[in-house]
Amino acid sequence: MNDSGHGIGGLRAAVAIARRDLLEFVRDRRTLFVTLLLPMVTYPLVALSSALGVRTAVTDLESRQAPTQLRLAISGPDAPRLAERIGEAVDLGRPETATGTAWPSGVASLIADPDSARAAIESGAADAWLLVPAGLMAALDQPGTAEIVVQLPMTRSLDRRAREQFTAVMLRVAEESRSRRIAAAGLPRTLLRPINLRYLGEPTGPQSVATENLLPTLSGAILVLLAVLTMTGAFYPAIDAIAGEKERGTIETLLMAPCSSGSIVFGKFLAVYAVTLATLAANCLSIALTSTVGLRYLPAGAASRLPSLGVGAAVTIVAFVGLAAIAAATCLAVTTASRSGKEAQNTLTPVILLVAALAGMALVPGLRGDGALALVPFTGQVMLSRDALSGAGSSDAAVGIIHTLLPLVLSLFSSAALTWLLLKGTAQLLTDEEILFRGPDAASGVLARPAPRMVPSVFQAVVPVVAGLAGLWYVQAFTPTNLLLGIPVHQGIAVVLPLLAMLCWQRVAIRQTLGLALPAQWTKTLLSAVGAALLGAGLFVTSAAIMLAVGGTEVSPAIRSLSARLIGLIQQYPWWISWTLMALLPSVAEELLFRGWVQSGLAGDKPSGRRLAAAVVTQALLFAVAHLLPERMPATFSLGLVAGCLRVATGSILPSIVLHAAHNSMPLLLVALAGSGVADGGLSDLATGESTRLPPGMLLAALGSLGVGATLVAVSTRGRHRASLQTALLVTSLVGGGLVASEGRGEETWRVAIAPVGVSLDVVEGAPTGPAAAMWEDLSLRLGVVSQYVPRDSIREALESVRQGEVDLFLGPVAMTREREDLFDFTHSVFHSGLRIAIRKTSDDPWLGALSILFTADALRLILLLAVLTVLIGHLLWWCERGVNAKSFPTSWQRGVWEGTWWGISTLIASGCDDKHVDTVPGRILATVWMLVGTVLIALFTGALAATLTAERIGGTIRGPRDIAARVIGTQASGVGGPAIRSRGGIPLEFRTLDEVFVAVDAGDAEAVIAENQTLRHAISRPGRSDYRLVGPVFESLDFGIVLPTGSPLRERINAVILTMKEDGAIDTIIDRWLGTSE
Amino acid sequence: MIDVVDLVKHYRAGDGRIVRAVEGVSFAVRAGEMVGLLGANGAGKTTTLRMLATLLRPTSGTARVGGCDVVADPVGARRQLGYVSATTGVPDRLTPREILRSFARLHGLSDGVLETRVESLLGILDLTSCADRPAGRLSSGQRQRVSVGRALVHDPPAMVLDEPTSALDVLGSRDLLGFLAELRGSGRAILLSTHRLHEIEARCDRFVIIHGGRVVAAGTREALVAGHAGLEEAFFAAVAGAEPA
Repeated sequence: MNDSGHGIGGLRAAVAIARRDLLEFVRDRRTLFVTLLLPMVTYPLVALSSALGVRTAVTDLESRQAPTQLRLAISGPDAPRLAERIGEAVDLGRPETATGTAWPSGVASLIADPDSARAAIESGAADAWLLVPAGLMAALDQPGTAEIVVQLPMTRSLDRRAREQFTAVMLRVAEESRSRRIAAAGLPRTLLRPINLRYLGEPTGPQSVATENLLPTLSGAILVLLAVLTMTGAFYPAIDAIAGEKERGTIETLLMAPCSSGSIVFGKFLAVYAVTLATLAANCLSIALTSTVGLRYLPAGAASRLPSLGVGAAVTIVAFVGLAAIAAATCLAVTTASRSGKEAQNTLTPVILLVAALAGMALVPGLRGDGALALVPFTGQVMLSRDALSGAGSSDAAVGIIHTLLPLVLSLFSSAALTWLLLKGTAQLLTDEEILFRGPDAASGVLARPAPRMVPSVFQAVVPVVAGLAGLWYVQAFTPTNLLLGIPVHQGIAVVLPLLAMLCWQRVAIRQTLGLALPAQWTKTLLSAVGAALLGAGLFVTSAAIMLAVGGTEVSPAIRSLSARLIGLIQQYPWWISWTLMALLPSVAEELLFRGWVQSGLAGDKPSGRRLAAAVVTQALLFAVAHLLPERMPATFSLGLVAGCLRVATGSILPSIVLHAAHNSMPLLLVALAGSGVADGGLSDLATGESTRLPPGMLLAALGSLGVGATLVAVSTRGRHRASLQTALLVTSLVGGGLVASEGRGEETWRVAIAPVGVSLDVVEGAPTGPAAAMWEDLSLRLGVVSQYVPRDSIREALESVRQGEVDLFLGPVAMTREREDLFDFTHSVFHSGLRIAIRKTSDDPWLGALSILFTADALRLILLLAVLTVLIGHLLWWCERGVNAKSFPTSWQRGVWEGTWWGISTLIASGCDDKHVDTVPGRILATVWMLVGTVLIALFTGALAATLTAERIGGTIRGPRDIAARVIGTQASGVGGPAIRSRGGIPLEFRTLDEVFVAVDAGDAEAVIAENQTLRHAISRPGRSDYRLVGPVFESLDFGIVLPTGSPLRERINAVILTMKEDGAIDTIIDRWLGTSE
Repeated sequence: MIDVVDLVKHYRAGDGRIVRAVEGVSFAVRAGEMVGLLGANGAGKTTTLRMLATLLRPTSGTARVGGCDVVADPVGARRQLGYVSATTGVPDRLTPREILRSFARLHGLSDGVLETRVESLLGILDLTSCADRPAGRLSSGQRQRVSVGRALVHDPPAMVLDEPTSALDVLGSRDLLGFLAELRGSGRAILLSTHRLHEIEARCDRFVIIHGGRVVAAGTREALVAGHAGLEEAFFAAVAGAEPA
């Protein structure tokens, strides 16, 4: 009702309600259990199971990385002495730089005749077989090179560790011999050993690595648990507060209170929020106690990092205070929308699962919490806390605080805003008469056919569009690329099936809804059809012009491939097949759906003018979105708009079908014209949407066609909606006119220096090529200037020309450094780049990687076990209760076990089932056991997940700059790569060229390549590098811009266009096209 | 005190049909008067009373309680009105004293006034002995008395009761109706609906009979009964007369 709350203050009423509700909550045992007891049991279990999991992971890793024995078979006369030499080399000590795996724990030499040696390496008893020539030992001490043949196994491949060990040991033997020769020559032994590295500090072993990785992962898992348990804390109070009051009939008495429904909801919220905060506090207390008491079960070293968690813990608590507000408000909203406590519980249980999923996103590696994700409820708070906890005390304090506080403030703001919105909605729902008084019986099933009506409701109007989009999403992998099949499948799934389903489900007046009626006179029908056809043809051309103006000349790969396939279809098959597929089928199906079903539903029966206009615009938007081609949205939107206006103006669907068909026939017509030599190739470019400029006169012809078409339609209708049609056409013509006007603007000429610049620019016969050239082509077109290119041999010379004023600008783009900034002006960055990592690993999607953890055999087995247990407990409970408690557990086996199992699921997830009570003593014992089992299982599951994720990160692949530590990474010498790797604790392996780096990675000497992003992208797109992929974000960011003389007046103009090109994605598209696909 | 003019309520049922629950009802209840709203199930009694109680929004027409329009000034109307229905319950886990206190607080009673008011209500309603037992353990008669106490806590000049006796036994109904009669005696306007005619026949000053959402007869017992054997027969005749021939 009216929300004008005067009389007693709204806040005072809210507080009175909150006091009353709190009194009720604290007398509810379930609330106390969920609030206080559950957290106290859960976290110790998580700590214990995580510790066990990590210990297993560490032991496993240690055994994998422990040094092993190198087994050699040696044959030949000098074999015993060589074996001795090798043994000495091994015993003389491992080189300090070698990690555990690269140096053997010892050498087992098998001195054998060739036959048994061969047998030994093939059977796996030896790793390699050395054929030692006679007199080797003597040769070793003489100048010259002695040859040893090494036979590796033929039938199996030697493992990498054995190969590394062998290489290392043999290099050592060679070094020993070198020392002897030097000594023999009378030179000091240290001549060839100018440096000896001695490391101080602790070596990095697997255990400390595990501890390093444990805290972020474990804290992530615990934070997810914390989010879910906090939400659970709001569960019963929220049901009690509103749905329960509805059931008891006390909500009416509250609604009679002299205050607004907003105050009532706010009071309820305060009470639920208080309980939620108490739950949060109990959880935090339990976590704190567990971490002080239980940390000794974790591997050594973890505890020492705890003191630095202070800021992180504070951030977590603040963020979760916001999360608790959303949780409380969400639970309240759901229970308010429910008609009974049972319905509320049934809806809230999946909502809690959804919350767990949202919070669980924080466990996905690679996602960062400082962007827009901080605004997502549950995900944002968990991610924020995770980052704060894992990064606490690491870097510069001031920067750290800003980096932590800004997302925190954002997150709190979003929590407050979302809570406010939810409460606002709840206040509306609370007074919803339908929900308040119709009772549970009135809740009709979703699948029940609604009552007949004239036109669909707004909801029903949108359903088929959403269903069609969902269908498209799921079948996209199976849609045939061959358009002959692809178009019918596409149309069938996205348009025809949803429309047919809606027509079968919802009884509406089909003639009125779909606009099947024709105008009364056939002359009017003919006139409007001809007019519509002219409009369609004109619209195609003006849309192309609009797209050129809005989107530039660049075409995305998706459109390019679609256009190519369309042209292929046109050229391959008779005209009537392609016409049916491209024009007839889509126009009939899409018009019936969008201009028929959707538009009628949105407008409603006998709509007002404003409602009608809103319906036309909304359906055009839906139509544009449903095409899933963002670049073409202006065109699809205007087609939808004009078709919608036609439907309104003529009252019939026929003209809009003709319009749509004529529009879609234009590519066919243009290709046919181009093919028959009537017109030049510009027409077929236009047909495929690849033209850069409209053919002369085309736009005028199109505008003429629009004008004549509109007049014909206007003449054919005497309807009152003529105005809307004319408005739409006026807008279209204005845009068209603007385009014509812009055609004739005068052009200016700029002198542009060009020079070879890395992968981005090259000079071929005085003209530029490469991505920078493509970008400049688009940029200068948008600026309306003509370029006069001035080729230079090097960047240095080009820069000199700029400084001398010989040219207006140097295309570059050149990295913006301090020194250059002093000498030149730069435009905005056109390429923002930085370092990037490439690894040689086939499938390493971080999302799939994280998800696959959930689908391991163990996890599936656990879930299966849980399912079986739940059904079993359902049986047991039903068996205990069936005689005496038929209300909760019906006597019949089928229904009783179903109810029992539902109780089991509910109890597992939400620690109780609101609408069922257990009466018998055995039943209660069983229920107690099951509640404990539920708590334990969820704790174990979380612990197992944390442990798996930790183990995955220790031994797993490189996913980004964070994983560089302690890895050998290849990079180009004298670049920024080496320092960047070192600063992240990695071991750089530097080579002169990038190709050499790749050779090293291929050989297994380095685990990944680090180089400038674009160059690396280009490099991995070369033949033979298909198994490389980029991982992680761009880091160590560098900006590249166009170079101008200091104070150049062109800078602002270029910058404006660069910003536009960045916004509409033109620059990204160019980079994608030239430098391989983006990931 | 209660004025209803041409009140109409239509709503859409779950299956999409429009239900015309109340089709232009008019009547008035003066201070110190007790009026019985009579009608069969589905006649529109509850819908009419809920509109008076500001729980439903009228489709058209006006309703005023103590001069406050239920649409324009719902909060004012709520201050003038105590509302009890057969379905209004009491919170199980709170005691009668706590329930009355919380509603007194909600109506803005200051702490000093609040305690005396709650104590006197408990006394009047004969709830003192069970004032500190959770309401879930009270008898249905006691619970209904708590409900009435809740509706009276802000001392409203008008009372609207929707089938207040339907959950009570004979003794309980008699006590409650007796209490209502006392309230009328203290100058309050009382409007109550029931389909148990015999219970209220002797107590009400006037009757309004509605059927199919319309007022089919209204007046004092004497005026209605004239020409019939009793009130019940008069009721049947009025209802039958309203049926389409």
